[in-house]
Amino acid sequence: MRRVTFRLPAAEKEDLLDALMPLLPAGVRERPLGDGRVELATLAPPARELLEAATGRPLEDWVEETVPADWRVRRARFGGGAYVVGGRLHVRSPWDPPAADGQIDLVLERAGGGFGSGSHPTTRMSLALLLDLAPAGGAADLGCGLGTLAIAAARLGWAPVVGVDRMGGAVAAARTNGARNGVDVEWRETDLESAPVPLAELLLVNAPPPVHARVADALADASLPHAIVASGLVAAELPAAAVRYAAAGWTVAAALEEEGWTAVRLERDGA
Amino acid sequence: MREDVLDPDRAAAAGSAFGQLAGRLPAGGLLLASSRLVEIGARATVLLAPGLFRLDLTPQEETLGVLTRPLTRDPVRWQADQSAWDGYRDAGGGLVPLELRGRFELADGPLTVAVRVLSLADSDAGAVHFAARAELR
Repeated sequence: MRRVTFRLPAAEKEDLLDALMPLLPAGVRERPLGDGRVELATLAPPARELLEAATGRPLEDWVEETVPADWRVRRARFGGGAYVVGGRLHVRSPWDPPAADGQIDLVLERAGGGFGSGSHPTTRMSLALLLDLAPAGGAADLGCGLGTLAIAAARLGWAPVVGVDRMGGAVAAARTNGARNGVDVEWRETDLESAPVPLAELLLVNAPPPVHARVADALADASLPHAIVASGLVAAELPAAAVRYAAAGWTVAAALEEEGWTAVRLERDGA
Repeated sequence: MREDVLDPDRAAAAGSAFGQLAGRLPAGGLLLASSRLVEIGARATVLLAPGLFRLDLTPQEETLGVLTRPLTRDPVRWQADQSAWDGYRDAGGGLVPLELRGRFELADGPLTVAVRVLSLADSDAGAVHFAARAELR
């Protein structure tokens, strides 16, 4: 398979893409270069002359190479599926290159319909808020999906850690991911709509609003948790969730927002 | 102006490299249709209405980047049906289309656009199938 990269001035990129995008059968992958330019990579494009005629200018640093057709092999070489959170956590698929030295490498395979591979803002923001907390006891990941938050908590030193989800396929995937990352986490298939809410020193709740309502109701008069990271909410859903948590004595201490989604760290009133 | 942007021949020619089809709607207007297989992490054009807009999609594992790129200086406003936002990652299956509605204020009158995109992720292929259509009136 033929892979081509070339570079465009970042300031003119979108105008030039107006001419290029309809001509590129595999689309483009973009990589900012930090020098005011963007590198674009594409597969099996038409001839360079045709693209340069469409843009009306030379395409700088044009490089062609033959690459394997299998996307996993290409991912292992070129990356593109990893996310770094707070400079410390490197979240990737098994097919992406490993983390740089000094970073905690979280390797997660998406399977079983589970959520939380790191490509979604709620996962990344939850991880960022988790990094702000010093490990101080156990953690419960409520709606664990692929297990990302539970695995991260365990890698950061929280113990014991439990992860629950109502989807059996997600729990199975989380269990596999946990083993892959060498962490000791108890995984359970639990429907939080009806089952008791597991409590721990830290609650990680990246889940839809009904789960937050159920968790908030479980906090009244409970000695645990000591901290909560809550996400899975679009910004407009936060006020209602915050009112529910406030009724249980919890206040928003920090908030992040990205692409319309929000994540918050909650602490007890007066803490 | 309006006749130009509703011209099927112009739209089909502009999107010929990615197989876009174009035709007149029975009650007047322009229909655009295309299907694309896009690798996770790549940004690809799925619909192109020359002189009006281009729709680029960037599938990620759990999110979908949506860019409506204006190709005119005329005012335009886009709205997304919020109930369809989760369709892309609906673990329960079921094809829920992404729906966008646009309104262009052209010099010779308003023009509305209704876009629907169905997506089907194939994790083994590392890609997402998109079937897209737009009705311009």
